[in-house]
Amino acid sequence: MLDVLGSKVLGRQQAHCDGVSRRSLLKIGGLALGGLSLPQLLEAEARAGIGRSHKSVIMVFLSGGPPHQDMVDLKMDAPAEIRGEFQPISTNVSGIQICEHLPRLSRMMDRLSVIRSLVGSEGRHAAFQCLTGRNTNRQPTGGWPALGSAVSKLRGPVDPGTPPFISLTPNMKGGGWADPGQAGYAGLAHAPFTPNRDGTVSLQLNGISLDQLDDRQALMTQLDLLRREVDANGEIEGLDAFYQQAFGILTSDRLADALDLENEDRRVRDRYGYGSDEPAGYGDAGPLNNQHFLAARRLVEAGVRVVTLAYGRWDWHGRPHGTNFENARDHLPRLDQGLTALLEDLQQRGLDQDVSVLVWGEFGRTPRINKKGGRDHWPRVACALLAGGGMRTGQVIGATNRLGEHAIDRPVHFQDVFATLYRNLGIDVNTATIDDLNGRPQYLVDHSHYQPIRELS
Amino acid sequence: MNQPLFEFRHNNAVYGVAFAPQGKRLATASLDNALKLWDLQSGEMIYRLEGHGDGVCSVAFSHDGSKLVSASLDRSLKVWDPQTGSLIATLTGGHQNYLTCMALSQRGSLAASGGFDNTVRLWDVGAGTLGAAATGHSDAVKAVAFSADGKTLVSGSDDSAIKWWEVPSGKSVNSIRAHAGSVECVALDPANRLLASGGADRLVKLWDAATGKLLTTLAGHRRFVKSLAFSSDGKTLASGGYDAVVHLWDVESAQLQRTIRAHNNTVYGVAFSADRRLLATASFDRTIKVWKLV
Repeated sequence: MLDVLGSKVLGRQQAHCDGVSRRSLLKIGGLALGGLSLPQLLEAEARAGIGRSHKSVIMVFLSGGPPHQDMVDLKMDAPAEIRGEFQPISTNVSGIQICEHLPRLSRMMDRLSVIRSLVGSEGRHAAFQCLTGRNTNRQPTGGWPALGSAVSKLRGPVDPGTPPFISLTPNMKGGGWADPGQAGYAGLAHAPFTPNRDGTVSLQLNGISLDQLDDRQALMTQLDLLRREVDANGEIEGLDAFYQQAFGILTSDRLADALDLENEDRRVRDRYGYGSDEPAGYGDAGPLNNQHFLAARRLVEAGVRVVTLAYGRWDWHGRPHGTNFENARDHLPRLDQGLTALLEDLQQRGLDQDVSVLVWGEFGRTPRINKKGGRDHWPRVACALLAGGGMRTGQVIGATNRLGEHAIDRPVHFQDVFATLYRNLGIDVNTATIDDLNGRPQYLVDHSHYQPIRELS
Repeated sequence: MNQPLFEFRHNNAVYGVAFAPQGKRLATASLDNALKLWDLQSGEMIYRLEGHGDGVCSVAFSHDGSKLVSASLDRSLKVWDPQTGSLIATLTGGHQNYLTCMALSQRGSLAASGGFDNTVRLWDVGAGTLGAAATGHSDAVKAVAFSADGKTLVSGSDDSAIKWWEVPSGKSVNSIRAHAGSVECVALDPANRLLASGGADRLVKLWDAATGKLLTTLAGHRRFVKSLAFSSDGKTLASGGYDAVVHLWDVESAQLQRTIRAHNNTVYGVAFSADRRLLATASFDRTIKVWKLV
């Protein structure tokens, strides 16, 4: 809970004439991003010397590890037990083929770059590496910050009404895929705002949650009441500017409007497709809900710098939970629809040069199909899709060997991808640092080894 | 029959489907860990039944429709009251690995299940007790079916074999190598004359249910055959496959009657209504479709 007028803020307990403390009047839960109050968050950002730009990133985390060889690196010369069931199809870029279950992407390949040689996976079933670029070992004091947290620290909000880092990841069973991104040494003030999660990180205003924002009348009634209370005491003018900003976020329409998909044209919503808000698989993975792609677009349009979302359950070990290929036939067409809708939408709105889109998972899958029709974990190589952000597209970067086992050309590390995203956001990984909790400056990536991907420039 | 009468959905793959004996309701079982009960007059969901800890692989009504039995990958069976949606009993302790298939005898209150532990287990769902274990398969058991008289149980396995078991003792009485590759599904006709099996070799085979002698082979699926059901008069056999297609076969002539391009993914379940007017198909594409046959 964030206590805007309570004793924690003013240093003394104040009560109204009716004996009810102000604290009970204005409680803003959840905007306490990970524990810090919103005013503290804003204050910290101001101290950091916030810059402003409208460059942004949408990161789609394919929770579980997608099968690179069944999506964008089909191995038709491999034996049947490796090759898999799917056929390649040509794309609108000569010489590039992808899976037959990605037909819409095949017609937009000129807007994408495919990395077939992603290396450096820690091999953990978790979002951590995709969100931070780092592995979990030997973290500096405070821990590595997620991309969005680092950007929040370095750039601050674009608009007072929108947090710089939003994760659409909901609560799920199990921790690894549910991780919305840790703030690490960037500080809790820069933890993601997580509107789809329950509990302490949901935005609540005297009992009204974001889930209920479709009832705008109720919200406005509550806000009007609060405003009257505050104004009657004449204290709003004297409050710290950060509290006014906090109030601004809560009373701004920007965030609420962005998250209210009912405001969107029905044809646009249909173009993205739909899905369930329930965590996919067995309640432990990202929802397979294409409307989250749309929400991401609306959020970056509203000023959010980094939006992340977990999408689907890609950990396909085989029967009795369906073969790798049954699951791929289920997931790939949905991803195909949602991702192409996003890219198309960004372009139509003139956002494609400003918004970088990244789609990836924590590792690839085993070349050899197991006895149960599944593919197991394969950290040696994986794939990623990149689009927008002013990047050069219509190309494949890197290659794997005949069996899809390892990179044989142009290995690209997770941190190279992060360096690219930072560059697209206007942040130079060779110079930008954030102090860890020991006060030691930490670079955003290990820049002596990893740099923005030159082919994308 | 190009369009289904109803299309229902789960939030994950649908593995099982069963009509209530009176034909007014449909039960479906899904990898989303839930069962759903549907009203076939209104097309509305009546109940969502939750409680299993893993995907629900099979569902069946008792012969009088008073009980609904579900089986789950979590190795348990659950008995439900379909009128109220309440859980009556949970049966555990049988399988040592994933439970993947279940059948309910239409005589008495016995259920049989097969699993990745290579065994077939018998259960008394009325008493809530575990019965005999039928061992002999050397790989995962994918399919089980009771004969109409309830005296015999048939199982199919990844070991390519079909085995016959005496009920309730679980004593092995016959075994054949049935398919090249796994046996994915089995069904016995209502007259106890025919056994149908489907396998990874893409074939449906009809066997003499008493002797295990091969009578005919039905070729048509392009990938492995995953589900089978006889109509209540035994004249039609429905098969569903990894190719997302449902075939309807005339049993007497062994001819393909009709093909329904029903789904976008593997067809895990097929079921006829008792009056043979409806066919329900359940798929990994998360949908259940109800087709009007006449």
